[in-house]
Amino acid sequence: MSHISPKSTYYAIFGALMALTALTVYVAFQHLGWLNFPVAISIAFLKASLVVLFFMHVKYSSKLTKLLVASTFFFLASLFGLTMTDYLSRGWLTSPRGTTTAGMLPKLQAAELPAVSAQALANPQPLFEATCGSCHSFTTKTAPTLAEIHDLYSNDVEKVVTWAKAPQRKRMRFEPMPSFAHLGDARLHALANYMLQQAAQTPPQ
Amino acid sequence: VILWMAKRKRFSPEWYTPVEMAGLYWHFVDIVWIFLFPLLYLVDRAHQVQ
Repeated sequence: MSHISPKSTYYAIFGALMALTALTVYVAFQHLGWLNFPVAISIAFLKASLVVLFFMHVKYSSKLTKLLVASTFFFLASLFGLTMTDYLSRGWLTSPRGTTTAGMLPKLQAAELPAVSAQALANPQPLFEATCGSCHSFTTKTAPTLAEIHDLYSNDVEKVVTWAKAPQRKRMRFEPMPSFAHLGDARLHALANYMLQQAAQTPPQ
Repeated sequence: VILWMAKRKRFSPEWYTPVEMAGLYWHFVDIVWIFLFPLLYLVDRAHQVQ
């Protein structure tokens, strides 16, 4: 605390901070894609260290003070890091099959669809498990369960088919459902029938 | 408050703790704003101005 810095040091640091602020603003208007954020934060860290070292006199303080300041920033970073492990991993594991709706969509659309044969339509279970069943089981927490769907539509197959072709988002606690129009009417009818039957037959636990 | 105390000759080269403390707090807020400014006002600017 006893060190006295010349005024010129403070003016120089002030000038550096102003220049770096101008640089931050300039960079923010450049198209760097994902780099925009890291660059802005790096400049902010540089400015913060200038303030801590010179304006807060840490540069002229004892080693103990420096260690304390460093450990403070270490723990602050740890807490931010732990928070981010939660925040950034939200939605990684939302469906019972271990993928999000968005992650699943390309797989579902690319999946080889069984031919529309009488035989395949008579037993829609494999198709159901590859498509609707990924989210809509009896026990799912990520989408309305089969029982809920049955309660909503009772035996109206057409309404289920219409919804599957152009789903909306009624319940904000679920991720939006992708459209399954690409399955075609025949498969959708078989699926809707199958789902409503399953819900009617098997009582939910 | 610090300025007023300084005018009243309350500080000396031996005792200036409040000045130091006020300075530390001032620069703490300073650091917080160094991070807040880009995060609040500059994030995504490149996309807003086309």
